Amino acid sequence: MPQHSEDNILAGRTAVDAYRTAHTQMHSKPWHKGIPQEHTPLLNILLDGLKEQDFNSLDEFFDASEELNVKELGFTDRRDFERRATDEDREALEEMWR
Amino acid sequence: MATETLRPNAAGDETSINTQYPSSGEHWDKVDEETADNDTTKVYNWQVTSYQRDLYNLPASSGSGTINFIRIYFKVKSYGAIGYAKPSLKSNSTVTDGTEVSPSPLNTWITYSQQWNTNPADGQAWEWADIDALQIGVSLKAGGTSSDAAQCTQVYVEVDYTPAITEKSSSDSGSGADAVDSLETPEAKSSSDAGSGAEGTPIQSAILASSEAGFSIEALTSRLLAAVDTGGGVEASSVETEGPLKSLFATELGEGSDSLTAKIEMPIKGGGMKLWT
Repeated sequence: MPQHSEDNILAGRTAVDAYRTAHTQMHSKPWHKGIPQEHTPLLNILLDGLKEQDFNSLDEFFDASEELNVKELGFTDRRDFERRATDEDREALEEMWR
Repeated sequence: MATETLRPNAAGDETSINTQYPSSGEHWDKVDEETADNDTTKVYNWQVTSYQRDLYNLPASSGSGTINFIRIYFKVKSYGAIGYAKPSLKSNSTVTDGTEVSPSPLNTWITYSQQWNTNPADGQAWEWADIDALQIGVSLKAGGTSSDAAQCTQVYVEVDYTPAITEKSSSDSGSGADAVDSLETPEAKSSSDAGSGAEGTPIQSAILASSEAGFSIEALTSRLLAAVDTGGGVEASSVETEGPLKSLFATELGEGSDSLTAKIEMPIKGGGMKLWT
């Protein structure tokens, strides 16, 4: 898996948060026929932002973000987390950015 | 043959899946997108090892003619431990769950689909009235009770039908254009209607301008919110039908077999690779 800097991941999280804000705003309006299609240009903007942080897909970004979360909890990677994590660690992970 | 795609537009009679992300809004708005947004918005069964079901209402259909079958698509993944998912539908007060799938490998979004040739509520051929009353959804079961979840980011149904052909009467003195028009699919008609939303992969050229240098969260946020304010670029006259997402996140499986099908997306650096199982 490609290594990404913490700065890139944090910038990516901000980009995803912006998408989610736009998504919420879009759905705050009354439903109309074009809403499913209206997601796509928003998603394209998000992907543009992620590409500028060297992420080639949403999945690549979310994987890297998850790896950062488990490292911040003191684990080397996701596999290490699965092996050693306590219930407390798992609850802590659930509270982190996702 | 023609196809009409219907996506959730309101909650149905059941909202039992215990978690959505983000937590604001409603479950149906996490799964209604034309191009799947994966982890950015989703519903999921968190840590419960029994099935939880969501059902969603659909907009009115616009097709006509003979319905051949319906096919429900659902994009799901397992998190923590391999979970389980089923497509669900409700017709005439009868709730039906499809075949169980186990999304694998972990943390990989997979689009599955299942076809119903007849309405399971009565065993008869689908009618448009059935479609207009239909609810679709998904049932999810976590693979364990630790940090485990079965997640879903997209659900929709395709109605495959043979358009009705209008017979020309002997008194019809027209040139035949009417008959040709009656063969036109609903999709073809709607694509020429401003604001109807093309069924392709709409990408607003202005928004996608790649000449902007550097990365600015503020600029990105502004672009996103501006896109919402301007309607997201779904006007038929302002969209293109090709773009990078077409290859990365294509969700159309085309006409498939009667059996359950699945598609794994495994994006790699520099492009998207899809493996079919």
